[in-house]
Amino acid sequence: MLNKYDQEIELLLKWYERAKEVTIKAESLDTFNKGYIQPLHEQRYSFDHFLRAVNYEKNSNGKTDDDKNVIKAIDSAIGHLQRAYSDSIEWILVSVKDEYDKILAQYTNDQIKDAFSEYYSEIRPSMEDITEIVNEYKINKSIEEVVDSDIISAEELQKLKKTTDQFLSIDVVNKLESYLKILHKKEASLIETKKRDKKESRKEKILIPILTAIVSGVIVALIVA
Amino acid sequence: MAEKKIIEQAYPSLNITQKTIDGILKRPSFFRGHVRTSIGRIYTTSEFKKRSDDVLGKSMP
Repeated sequence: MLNKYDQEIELLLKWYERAKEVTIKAESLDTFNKGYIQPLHEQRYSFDHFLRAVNYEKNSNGKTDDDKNVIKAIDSAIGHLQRAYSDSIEWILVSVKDEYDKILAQYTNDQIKDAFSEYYSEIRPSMEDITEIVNEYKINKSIEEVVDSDIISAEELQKLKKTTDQFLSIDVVNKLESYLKILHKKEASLIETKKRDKKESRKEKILIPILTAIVSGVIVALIVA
Repeated sequence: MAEKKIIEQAYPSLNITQKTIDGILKRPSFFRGHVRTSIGRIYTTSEFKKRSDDVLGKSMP
């Protein structure tokens, strides 16, 4: 069954593995330990389309239209898995960005520069790029399916496809996971830097006034004498 | 002229409300694979959207 459609099935399998892996990771990284059902439902819809493909093939009379229906159904199944993937990417991005906001809000810019230099040079620009790509993908993903010159020109469609390809091809998940690991590793350094700054500022607040008082006392004593 | 494609039956986006969550809790067998989901710790659609908009809309420290 579906022997003629090896390429399509292979692509479907790849997307299934990708979507499943990312959805499970997104659940485990969620800051509030909550589940999000939309990716699961996209996987369910994907299964539904796949079974439609099986059904079309089973009832086919060898016509070209039957082939087209099977391929279209498999493509739709892949589309739903891509949506499960993109919803889970957004979920992971929200969790990672939220974690960065909560932890780094406790430190000054100088403390972050001292203890976590790669944050400003590499991580923050990269996460802002990823956020922009996710936002563009969210806006454009539902428009892709409609190809009509009255609604959207061929150039605009090309631009949309480019945005989608960019989003679906970059290895966003591994990047975001690595950024989270780096943040947790750097927490100890950030805490040490904050403690050091606190000690120094205590010295400034106590030592300097005492020294000033002593010196002033000596000067006054000399004058009086 | 760009080719016109006929869209197959499109599934609407799922709107997860408290009623959806209560329904899941009554029939956990559908969602047994995910622990948080089967015990009802689930984002409603509006909750997730709000959180996503808030977090992704803010600039980083």
